[in-house]
Amino acid sequence: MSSQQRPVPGLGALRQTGMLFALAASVLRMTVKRPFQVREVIEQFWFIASVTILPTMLVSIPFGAVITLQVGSLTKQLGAESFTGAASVLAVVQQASPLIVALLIAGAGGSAICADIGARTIREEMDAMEVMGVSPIQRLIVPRVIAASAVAVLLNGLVSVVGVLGGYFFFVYLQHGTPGSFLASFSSLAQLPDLYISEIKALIFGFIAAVVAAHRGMNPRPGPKGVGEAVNQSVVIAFLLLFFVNLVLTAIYLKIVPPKGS
Amino acid sequence: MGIEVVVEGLTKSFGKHLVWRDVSLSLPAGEVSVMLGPSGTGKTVFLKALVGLVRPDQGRVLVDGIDTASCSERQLYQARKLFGVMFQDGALFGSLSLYDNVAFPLREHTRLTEAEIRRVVLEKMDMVGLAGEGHKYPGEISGGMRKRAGLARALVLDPQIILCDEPDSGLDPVRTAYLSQLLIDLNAEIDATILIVTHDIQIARTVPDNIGMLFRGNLVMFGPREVLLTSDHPVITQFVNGRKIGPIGMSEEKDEVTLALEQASQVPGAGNGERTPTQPALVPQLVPSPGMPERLAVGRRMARVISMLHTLPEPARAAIVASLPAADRAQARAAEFTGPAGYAAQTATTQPRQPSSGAAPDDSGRPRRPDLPEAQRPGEAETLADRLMGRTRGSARRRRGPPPRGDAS
Repeated sequence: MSSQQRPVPGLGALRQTGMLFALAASVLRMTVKRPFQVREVIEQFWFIASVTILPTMLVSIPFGAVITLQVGSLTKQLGAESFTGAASVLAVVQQASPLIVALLIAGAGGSAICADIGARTIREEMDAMEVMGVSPIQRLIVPRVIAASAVAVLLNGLVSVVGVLGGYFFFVYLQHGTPGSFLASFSSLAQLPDLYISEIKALIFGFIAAVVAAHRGMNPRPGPKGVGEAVNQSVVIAFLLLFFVNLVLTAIYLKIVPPKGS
Repeated sequence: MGIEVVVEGLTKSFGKHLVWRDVSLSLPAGEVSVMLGPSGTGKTVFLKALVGLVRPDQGRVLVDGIDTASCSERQLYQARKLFGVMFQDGALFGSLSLYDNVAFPLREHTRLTEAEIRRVVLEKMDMVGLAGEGHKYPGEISGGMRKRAGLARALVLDPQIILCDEPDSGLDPVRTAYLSQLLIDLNAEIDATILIVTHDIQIARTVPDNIGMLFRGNLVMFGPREVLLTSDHPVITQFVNGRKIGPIGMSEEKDEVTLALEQASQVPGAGNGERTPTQPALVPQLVPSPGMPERLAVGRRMARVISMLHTLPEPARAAIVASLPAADRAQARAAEFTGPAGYAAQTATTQPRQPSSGAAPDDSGRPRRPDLPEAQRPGEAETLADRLMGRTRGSARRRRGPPPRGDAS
């Protein structure tokens, strides 16, 4: 309705962005406010984990393999075969793993959150809750955001392990590399901050995916079709945001953490 | 007793679309009011504005000293505890059973034990006729049951103000009648202020003490039921009689040309889908079921109405006087001419005070009841009013009910 008249182009997008940030801020504020919805958090955690674990594993094995194969063939040409392990590990842990997690949290968990919240909104459940003096953000959104962030962090560990194992398997059995060189280069180039940034990224991505899903779910166009559109938008917006935030975080990380050995 | 809700100059628009402009009224404490209007006139938005779900562009909504249109979030949550809202489709939580739905506000806002919660919930569910259905889920039951469950949930915290959004939509006439009776019984029992938003004329005729009507973004009229149901305002008569002919069209409003064309081609009598013209709009109001306490609102309202009787149009006056017990009629008749302020009876006969279209001059109505003593001592009305309301409120407060307006539009 606000799109009927736009004095400044892009104002609508700016308003939506503002609303998104406002929602994120109130989610953070209400997270520390009592009463804490333990039960809802656990239920949501279990739900998001159950819809994401298997697809994540299935995606991460070929992903680790592809990186290893690609990097392996490149390093072979350059004669730096012994660094394949390090390259694939850094790529998987730092970049691939948080992104895989984010895509699956946004795609599987976020769409479910958005559809759930959207259906509640058009059925006036959110209004009813607010009228009964219960904040829907505190009651429904905060547990989902916490659950999504927590699942993302834990899932990130899983993807890192599975991805690295996949890479190792392909390197050793298909490219006939030596296990020793994989592991040696691994420990010579990789360092603990790589793992930290990976987990921080996963946490932030999980938060963003859940907040975007909740925001779209709370503001759907009227009618069941509106909910469908909202889910669609939530996934697309979340993806765009995630890749952009990933770029920013990676740039910052490379600036402030010196690479090992330099 | 319920709480008065005072609305002042409320205006709301979505983008360029104006929903309503400058709506002012006051829902008298403990009385049942109905807000009528064709579909799409912002009735639901009005109801949501009262509880602060929709923030109006201008105006105030005063509930127990809190302006829900502009107060802080914290105050709003406080004010909302006074409200019980029944949403259009019940707005039950789909993931909870009916029992848990009704228990939800209790679990959130009170420290009652499960046993006490159980007692309250079962009592309310019994009240709306859902005893023994608590284990079902909202997806498994009919629309009418969902509405009733929504009402039960709105009632558990013993609200001072009950708002009902289209209690009739999707219900058959019999169930609508039961629901109407339920609302009246409820009012008798807990004496809460009730506002029903609807386009069902049957509810409007039988349930409320006061009726308002929204049309084309304006409040056409708000006042005692007799005023609206006897009004000759074209929008109101069209709506009350369910006619095609009048200012209300299929899409929001008709233009002048269509209206003129319609007037010209109007065939009196059959074929227009009207109610039979013999059926009067004003029918007796519902009374509480046997066994229920008397509605205190009736006495309060009558006192209030009598105190403003001299400002009402003539047909409404006649209807009000006719509805009084015989013993009170004489005094009411006097009030009609003197007003509670007690000015001379004779002035009223020549000078109607209301800004009416002049269709009902006082003289025409006056000789209608020659059996009644016409001129009473000034001040009689005051005593009647006091008696009816048990001398609880000052006359200044009583007069706050907005005078009916808009005979000329």
